[in-house]
Amino acid sequence: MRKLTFIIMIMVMVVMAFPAMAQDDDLSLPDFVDYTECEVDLTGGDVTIYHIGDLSGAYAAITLPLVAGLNDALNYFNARGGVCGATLSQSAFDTGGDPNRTAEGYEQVHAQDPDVIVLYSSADSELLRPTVADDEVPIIISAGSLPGLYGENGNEPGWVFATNPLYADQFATFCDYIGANPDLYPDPVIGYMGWGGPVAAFGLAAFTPEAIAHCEEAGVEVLPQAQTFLPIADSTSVSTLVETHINDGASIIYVNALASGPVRVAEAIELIGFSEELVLGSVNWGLDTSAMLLSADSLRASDGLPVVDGMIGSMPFAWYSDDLPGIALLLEQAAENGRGIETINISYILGWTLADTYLEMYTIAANNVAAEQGLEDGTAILNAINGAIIKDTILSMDFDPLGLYNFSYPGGEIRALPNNRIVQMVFESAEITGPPTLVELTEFAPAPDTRLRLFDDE
Amino acid sequence: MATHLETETPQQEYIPFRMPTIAWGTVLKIVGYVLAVVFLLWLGDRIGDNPRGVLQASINGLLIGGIYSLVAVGIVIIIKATGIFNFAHGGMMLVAALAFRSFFVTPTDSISIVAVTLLAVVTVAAFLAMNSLRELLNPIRSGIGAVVVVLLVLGMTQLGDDLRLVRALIGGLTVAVLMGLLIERLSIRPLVGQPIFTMILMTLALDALFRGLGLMLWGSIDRSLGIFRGLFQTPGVAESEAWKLPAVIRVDAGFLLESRITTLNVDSRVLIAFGVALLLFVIFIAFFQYTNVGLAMRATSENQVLAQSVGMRVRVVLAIAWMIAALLALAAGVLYGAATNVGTGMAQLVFLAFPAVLLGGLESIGGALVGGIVIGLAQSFGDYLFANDAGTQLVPYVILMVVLVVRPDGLFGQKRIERI
Amino acid sequence: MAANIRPSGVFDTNYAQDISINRTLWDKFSSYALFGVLLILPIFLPSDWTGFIARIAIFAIAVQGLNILMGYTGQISLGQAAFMAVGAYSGAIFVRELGFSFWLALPSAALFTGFIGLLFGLPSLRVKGFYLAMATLAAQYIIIWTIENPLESLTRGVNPLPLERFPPQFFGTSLNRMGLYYVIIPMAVILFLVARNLIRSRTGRAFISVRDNDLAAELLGINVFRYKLAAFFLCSMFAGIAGVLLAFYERTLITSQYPLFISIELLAMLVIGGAGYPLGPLFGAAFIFIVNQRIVPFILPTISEFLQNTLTFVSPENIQGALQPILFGLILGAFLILEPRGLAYRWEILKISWKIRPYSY
Repeated sequence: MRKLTFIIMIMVMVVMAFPAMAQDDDLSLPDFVDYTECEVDLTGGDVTIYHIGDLSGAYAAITLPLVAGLNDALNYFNARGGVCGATLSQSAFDTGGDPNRTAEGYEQVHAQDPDVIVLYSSADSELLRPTVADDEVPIIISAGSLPGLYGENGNEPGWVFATNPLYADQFATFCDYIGANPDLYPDPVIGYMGWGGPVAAFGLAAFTPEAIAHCEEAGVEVLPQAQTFLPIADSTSVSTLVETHINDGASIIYVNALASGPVRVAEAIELIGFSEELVLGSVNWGLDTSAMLLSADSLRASDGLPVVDGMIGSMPFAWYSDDLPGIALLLEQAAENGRGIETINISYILGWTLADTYLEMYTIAANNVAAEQGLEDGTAILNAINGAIIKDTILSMDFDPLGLYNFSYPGGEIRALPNNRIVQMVFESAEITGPPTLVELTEFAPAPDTRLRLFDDE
Repeated sequence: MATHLETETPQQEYIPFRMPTIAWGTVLKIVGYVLAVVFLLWLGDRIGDNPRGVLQASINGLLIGGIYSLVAVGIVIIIKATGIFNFAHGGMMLVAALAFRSFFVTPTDSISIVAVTLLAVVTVAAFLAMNSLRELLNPIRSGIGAVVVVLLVLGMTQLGDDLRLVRALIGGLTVAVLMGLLIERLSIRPLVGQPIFTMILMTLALDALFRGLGLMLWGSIDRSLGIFRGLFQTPGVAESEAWKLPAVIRVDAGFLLESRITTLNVDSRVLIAFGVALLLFVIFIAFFQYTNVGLAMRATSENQVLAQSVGMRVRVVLAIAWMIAALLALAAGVLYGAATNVGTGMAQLVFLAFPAVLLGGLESIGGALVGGIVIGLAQSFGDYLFANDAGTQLVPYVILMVVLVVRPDGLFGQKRIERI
Repeated sequence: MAANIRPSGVFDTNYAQDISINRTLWDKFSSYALFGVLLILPIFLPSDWTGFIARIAIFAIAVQGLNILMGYTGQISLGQAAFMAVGAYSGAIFVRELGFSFWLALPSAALFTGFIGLLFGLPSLRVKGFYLAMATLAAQYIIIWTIENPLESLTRGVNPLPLERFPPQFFGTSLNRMGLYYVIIPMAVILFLVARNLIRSRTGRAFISVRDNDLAAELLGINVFRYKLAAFFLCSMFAGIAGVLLAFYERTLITSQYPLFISIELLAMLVIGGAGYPLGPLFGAAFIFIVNQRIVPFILPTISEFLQNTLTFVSPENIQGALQPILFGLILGAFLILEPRGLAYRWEILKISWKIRPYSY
């Protein structure tokens, strides 16, 4: 099975790598990234990125572009030598959004003895948390939840590592920004909205008592009742919920959902006629390319721009409109691989950075293993790397994957990357030519750790 | 309320002794009335708080309910014709709407003639061979079929981008007809005579298949479908477009109690979708009541064996029923997509329409309309009055429970007459 | 059931023989052997197969409950997953909040779930067929909503409810997954025997008569409503037991483990296995699990590669994402056309044709 996947990946890679090889004269890793030097030769080895997740259910809109980014990145890095000569490959297990299938998929993947596994949904990480701790398999997930990362009491850092700040912390960052700009947002009152139904755990993830308390301290009132809507809800239905928030005095609506969520809410606000009065805020997934695609043919604001124009939110990594060499590389590679505008979205970035993180992580781990255990042979080194070593490696790393964010967990006690910033989605025209522009409103800075409030009370 | 036995059979006096039975029906009724009165009092209190909000919630519920009922009627038609509950309706909506969208947004010169010709030929052949493959040998039928193929191909490839709505309609209809016929031919016909649950499970398999197909051919990203956009004024250029509708129709509601929101707002997209849905409903009911095919379908749903024995082609009737269901799925998918967006989540819509079907009564087409609107209103009021998904997850189902206990056959369902 | 076919010349001579579970020595031996094999299997199998078998057993228990309700009594339920959730959450709360041991929580949660099932079985007094299915669909939504919202302080709402700290104890030792395997398999065997025995009893015959014709059953003096409720009670109890076992096996529970989709999948397992056959639930659960978790992931890369090379206009990631539902739909559809009456039906036919070999009549 593993071999089969490997062979297929190789074949696909060979087919896809040929044009890339013909064009690039210089096949070296990007020079703007600070890679650890290889002290070992792993040629002939294979580093598999195992990922278990919902490829065909409610989250497919972000998981498939992530896989696309991963595939493109693997081709790119393998053409440049891979992990010290070892080939990077990926193996997916599709759960269709059913947690029971996640548990089963984990056992299957675990039987193949992975050193580290990638998950997508926070519910999956919550379900697998005790098991992976027993099996000593670290988990990398883009956005974890408090119970998934820190357990029931919030103070037991486990084996799950998130590459985004906790949703509650992103919400707190948002509140800090609002509270710090009273001239722009006088008397701020936030009405919280999120996805409900089967994905309510995600929709309500930021609506924690700690985050709300943080907001109140920052001078921002949060309405006590969150409003949730189904991912398939239409803007007319959502407008009923938004009206409740407006009647309760909200001046800001914060939406914790994938991109279609903020679009529905923005349409609802436009429908009610409150687009001038209300500010729309969102979690990082909301400020996505598809937010723009979805609102392209829907209601337009009075200035003719898409309704999501002016939405603010937290964005814990670089975006396509940032002037960075890593972004230039991504856009160039996306064009080379014929990626459409709908694929070049938020998770396409994460697919690339994930592959880059693996590259660095395995280089460091292989170097350490070779030095500590005195191993020479590439296969032996790769076999010697296990979950515990990878966990130590993750905790010791300080790496900027493609220069797009900082991957480091300082102190060994946190499990979510802390850095975050607030951006605003701005449109110059209604025409869609590429990913939307995100204007930086605050610089990268550590997000408030609302989790710590849990222990202050004691 | 007593059990069937006591009301229907006079023999009960022969039973010498019976335990005194508690009339559960009556108890439930009394409890229900009490709860209803309490609820109404509370509702009245809330309405007094914000009459505009209640009015707006009613309008929203009515408009969305209209679209639900279009989904519901597609499910009802299959129940009427074959007695099975079609879980695949959401998947059919998804694929039909995505195909429609493809014909709508693809520029004329990028539409592949080969693919379109293939689609047209297969569809017409499937239509002609509805009863059996031998029909294809009939020269007159095949000749007409060939003409139709040419017309379809011309319609799908030669209409310019100004007429893209017409092109999308032709393309969407073709795909929907093909889908309905293929479902009947390949998955339902082989199961005729098998347990009913096997057929229902088959619709579940079809649902998975359609969701997968939608994902594979059109990707995972939700898209907007702006078919009504040409009808609306572009913000800022109002003068030359005075005949067009505003994107949002606003009515001043100052006559109601003062609140922060002062207008009643209706999204024109949803309003038009609602209007088209009602129109389609009327056409559909007329078709069902006044045409020969409709008559045949009603006869078949009444008793398949009897219909067959008087010389009706039951297979053809069933194929047509699935074809109509697919067309209704197309209509519902496109209208819902135009009011919101087209995406893989649309397959879930069928679960929102279920209570609508049940509420109206499984066999009643008019009931589906009423059921859809009632469920739309229930959701809207649920959203208005409670928080945390109560509108979509709780209220419609509580209403469904209550209606089922009071009227076990739905509001307009056929009363079952049971014999031993 | 067609189990009455015997080799020519062999007859039952008394009632005990006629209704016995193991009709021949071979039957008896093979069922003991199967149980024994299941118990020693984890020693030889890789760890993921142990979990696989344990999950099949857990879901088979839930489907067996559905079988009692649907296969024997003819009432439909679309809320079985919600009843599993009731069992799982009540068991977890009994353990976490009331300090019950696992062994006490299991039966109490089962009973509690049974009573909740009774409550949602009440509409069966008046409602039949699809309408009843939808009344139980209402149960699915109402129960999950109740767990998530009004009971949030006990259930932690949409957040996970961890059970890591409360592993089942067995004479002072905490049971790990392997230990739980030896709880789950005997539990499944016992419950299957209960279900098998049930249809030989007065209650079971009453169930079947209600299924075949409830009016006739009523004329025979069977209290139809009482037996319908009894079936709902048993069905929910089985679901509750399955829920408790699943919760303690996964050590965490989330409401999204029990959505409507799982209810429908449980129904699918029953139909595929064969409704009304005692072994049907086992066949059905095993079939869905094997297809979903083993066959599809195994053939997926090959088909994915083939499609990526043939359908070049489709992006490879879309193929990767779409194949799981497509393959599942195709396999399920093909199976239904080939075996519309379920695997247990085919199993009976195989058994008969083996018994009456070499003559086919």
